[in-house]
Amino acid sequence: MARHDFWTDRLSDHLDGELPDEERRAVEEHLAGCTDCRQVAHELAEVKRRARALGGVTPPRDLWPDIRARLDGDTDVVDLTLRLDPPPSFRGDAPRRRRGGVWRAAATVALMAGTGAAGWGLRAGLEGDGAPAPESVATAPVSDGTSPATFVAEGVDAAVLAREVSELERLLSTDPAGLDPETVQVLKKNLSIIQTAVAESRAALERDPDNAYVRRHLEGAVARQRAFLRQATSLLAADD
Amino acid sequence: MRLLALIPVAAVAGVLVAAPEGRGVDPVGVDGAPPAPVLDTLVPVEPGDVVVLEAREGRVVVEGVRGGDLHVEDRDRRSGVAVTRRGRRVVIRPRAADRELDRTLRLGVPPGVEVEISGQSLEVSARALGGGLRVGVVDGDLRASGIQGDLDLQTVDGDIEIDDVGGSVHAHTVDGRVRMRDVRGPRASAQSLDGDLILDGVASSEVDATTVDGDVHYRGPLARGSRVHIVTHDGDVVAIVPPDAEADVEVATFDGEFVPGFPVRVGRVQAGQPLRFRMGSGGAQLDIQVFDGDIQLRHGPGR
Repeated sequence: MARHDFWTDRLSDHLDGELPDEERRAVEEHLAGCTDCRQVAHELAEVKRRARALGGVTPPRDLWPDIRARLDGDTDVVDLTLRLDPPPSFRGDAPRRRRGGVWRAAATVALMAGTGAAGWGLRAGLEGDGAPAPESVATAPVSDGTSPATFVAEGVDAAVLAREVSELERLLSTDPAGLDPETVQVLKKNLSIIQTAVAESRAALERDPDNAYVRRHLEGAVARQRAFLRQATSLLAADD
Repeated sequence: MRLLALIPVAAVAGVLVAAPEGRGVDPVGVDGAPPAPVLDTLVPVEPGDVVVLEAREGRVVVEGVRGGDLHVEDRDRRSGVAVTRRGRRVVIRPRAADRELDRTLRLGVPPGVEVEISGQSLEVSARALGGGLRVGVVDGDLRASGIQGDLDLQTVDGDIEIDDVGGSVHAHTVDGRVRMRDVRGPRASAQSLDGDLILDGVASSEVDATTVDGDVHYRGPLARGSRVHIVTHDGDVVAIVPPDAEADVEVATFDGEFVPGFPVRVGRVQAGQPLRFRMGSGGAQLDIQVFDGDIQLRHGPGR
């Protein structure tokens, strides 16, 4: 895995054309002979392509400090006695704090592929009030031996899923006459969102194959993806 | 509601009962516009009947009424709506070829009568219904309050707002926010792909709130035996439960923090496993799954 890290580290820069010539050639040579890295590069390129198509992007923040802090807190948590600042009132109509959008997602994929971060993190802590530093993370591999590179979800055939995605993309590209163009754009945007969620989950699982929670999350994301594909396809197929 | 026509639909199977011509005239035009034709139709219905509205585009207001008649208040300037009965189903459709509603269509629905509405670009607002309501549209906001029966609202592009429901609730949007308050039925499900979920005072024993890109706010009694399941891929979760709630809690976030607002005692934390702890002696189940976002769990009134 460490050897792949070296290459996947450079994929995002490579796709952005930001590698020096020598490194670019090396990456291309490696991609020519490495299926796994080609798959990661393909997914990353898809995410970037869809992100560009959306327009209106938000620059990604640097996630590495958070991940590093998490890695540093590699201890068991046995007791959490915490105090919280006076909670904000429960306001359902409060404006949502957008977390960065698809560009951020693309950056997340790239960063996870490149940093070698263990990925799993669950912190319980306070910020800026002198309380104990966040603690988390222990080890207990729970691998079932399934390769994350090919794993999509239990009972889901990756090829079938890819065909379903292609079919929806084809239908979306035909500008169906019976559907409001805005609705078509909404479907395109949401296809991108769910694809990004699946890609992020897969990338996380590739980084941490023994993480049962991420595996479960990926399965849930795939289930939601399939539900969306069915819904959108049936909607569009009526006008195809 | 002015009643200009009383038509015994049930007596004649499959009869077309509504047409605006000559039925009546709105005495006052709007902003100098020509007076709009008005058709108020009464259709006898019984508990267990289903009112079905199929329209491509427009706006619909559904309200509960007393008595045993379905009220159809149609102010369509063009051709009105057609109302037909098929067994226990009373079907309402715009008569215009494009199936569009030119003006807001108002339906008055007696207790015990179910309502089903489907359309493409349709805004639906319903209140004080004694039966259930099902709505499925492609785009349009959906609102429902004071619904005694089960509620099923689905839109692809639109927000959903729900308040005061006695039955089970299923709210699904692809692109939009779901907000539900005071739901007392056995099941409550709120789903979005790109949108926040706000569940406030949801007392259902089975609660499922799932979004991909959005925050989730939950506040509920978390009564013994209930199960609350919250998932978001990219978003924060705030859950507020009563201080005396007794539950087994499972929280997990891949990239974020868990911030409890009160002391919790957990056992050994294992990589790849959610954080688990018990509030009181347990009895309810609260699961929160996040991929990229923070989780806050706080004490507060269930509603």
